[in-house]
Formats: sequence, C-alpha cells, structure tokens
Amino acid sequence: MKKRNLQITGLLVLVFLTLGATIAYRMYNKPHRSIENETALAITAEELALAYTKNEANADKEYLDKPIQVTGLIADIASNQQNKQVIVLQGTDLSGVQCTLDQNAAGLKKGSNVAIKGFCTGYLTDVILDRCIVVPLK
Amino acid sequence: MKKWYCLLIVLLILHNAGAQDILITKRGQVSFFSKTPLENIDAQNNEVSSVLNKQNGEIVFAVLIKGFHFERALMEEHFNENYMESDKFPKSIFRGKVNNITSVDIVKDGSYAVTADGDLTIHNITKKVNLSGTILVKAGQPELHCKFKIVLKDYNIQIPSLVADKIEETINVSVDCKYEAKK
Repeated sequence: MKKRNLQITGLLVLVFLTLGATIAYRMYNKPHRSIENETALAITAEELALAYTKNEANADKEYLDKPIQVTGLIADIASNQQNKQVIVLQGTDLSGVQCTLDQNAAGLKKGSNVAIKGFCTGYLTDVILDRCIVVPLK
Repeated sequence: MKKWYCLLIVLLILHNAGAQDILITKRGQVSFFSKTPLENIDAQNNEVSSVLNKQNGEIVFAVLIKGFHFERALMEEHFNENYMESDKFPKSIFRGKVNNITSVDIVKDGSYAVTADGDLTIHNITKKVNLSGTILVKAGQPELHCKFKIVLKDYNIQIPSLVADKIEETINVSVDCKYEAKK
C-alpha cells in the first residue's frame, strides 16, 4: 500500500514538472502579437493626428500600444533603412500618421485612399504605427 | 508640458534656420545590444526621428520605446513593462550640439569624425552626455553613425535581483541615421 502511494506521488510530481516546464517553455517562446488576429479600433488618420496634436498624454491613454485601423490619404510612400515600406497618411497640417508595414505591399499610390492596421507606438512629429498590414477597402 | 518639448524644439530648430540648412529623417535606426550568459539582448527601432542643423550643429534625436523590437516577444514585454515602464515614459530624447560641425563638408563625400554634447533623457531621467561618432557623406547623402554606452542605474532602470547577475550594467547603443534635406 505504502509503495503504491509513493508511486502515485512520484507520478503526480512528474506530471506537474512536465506541465510546468512546458508552460514555461511556451511562455518563453511565445510569438509576437500579430495584427491580423486583433480587433482594431477604427479611426481616420486625421482624427488620430488631431488627437495627438491636441493632447499627447490623453491620446496615449487611448491609443498607445493598441491595435488601430487607420484610414486616410497616402501622403508619402518611402522605405526605412531595413527596406521595409513606410506609408505616411495625411493627418493635420502639423502631423501625419506614419505606418511601417510588416510586409511590403504592391499597388499603393500617393494620393489614393488606404486602410492600414497596426500597433500604435506613440507620437514624435508624426503618430507612429508599426507591424502594420494593408487592409482591403470595402 | 514635457510632451511638447520634442515637437517644440524640432519646430524651433526648423524655424530658426533656412530650410536648406536642415537635415531630417523620420526613419533612422537605434539599436542596443548586451551580451549575457543566458542569451543576447538585442533590439532595434527603425522609426527614429532626427533633425540636424548643418549650419550650427544643433541636433535632436527622438525615439519611441514601444518601437523597439526584440526577437523574443517575452523579452520585449519585460523591456517595456519592467525596465523602461514605457506606458509612463513612452519616449527617449537626445538634444545637443555637434561641436565641430564646421569641419564637416556636408556636400563632399567623405568620413568626418564628430563629437556632440547634450542631454540624454531615458526613463524620464536626463543626464549630460558627450558622444562621439562619424558623419559619413556617401553619394551626397549624409549619414550619422554613433555608438555609446549607457549605465542602467544612471537612468534608474532597475534589474530584478533574480536576474541581476545575468544582465550587464551597461548597454551598448548604436545610432545610424540617413538624412535628407528638408523639403
């Protein structure tokens, strides 16, 4: 009887250890947030830029680190020093919305409308979104 | 008020000089690196905003903490939540002056050693720093490259005691910016 108890305890300890190790390993290797799976806050580029130019602290509370879907006119298409595509959307006179795309998109034109989904990292001279994808316009 | 500083300073610099004297980028790069026995800590930010006045040497860098990306999501999360508290302090700024800007011929290809004095704000703490780097002019396009070290406790960045012996107290930072003339 005693031996059996010991065996069961041993087995339980082993199960918990394995479980713990698996969870720890999974957490350690957990993937980055993917914008595709996120429900994003919808807003126009103008509204977003206006919110940040008016009051950065309040806008941060609302948008910082959040998944955001922004629509607007393409003011500029450039690439960063890693050759990732960067789309600047027209905002206010002072600030636009700069979106760094995760994967380069074809067929974008200056002056045309676009919807872009990404995570807001904050505000410098423009509002900045990164890890973005282009969303087909409805 | 602090939140306006960055924009204000950028605007002031833009205002005080003719447009042809101003070099800007909104897509510069800042990365940092630290070797630990466990694994290397390595992150990159590609949305660095910088303005350099090639007439008087005034220079500003601004970078958003949440824009630093790591290979491991967990490391990125710890960096933001435990070390940099990026919800409270979302940006870092350097503003200063390139001391020997007159020795740089910005239209002539070449490599020019430069130094800059200024204030570096990280984690809401501002320190005077002296940086040295290189301005490289390649095919007419000026680039700035600068490496420096920061000591974490200077900026009140605390390392949990559990991992204190595994994380270096200094971090190597690199700044690499390609500038364009302001339009």
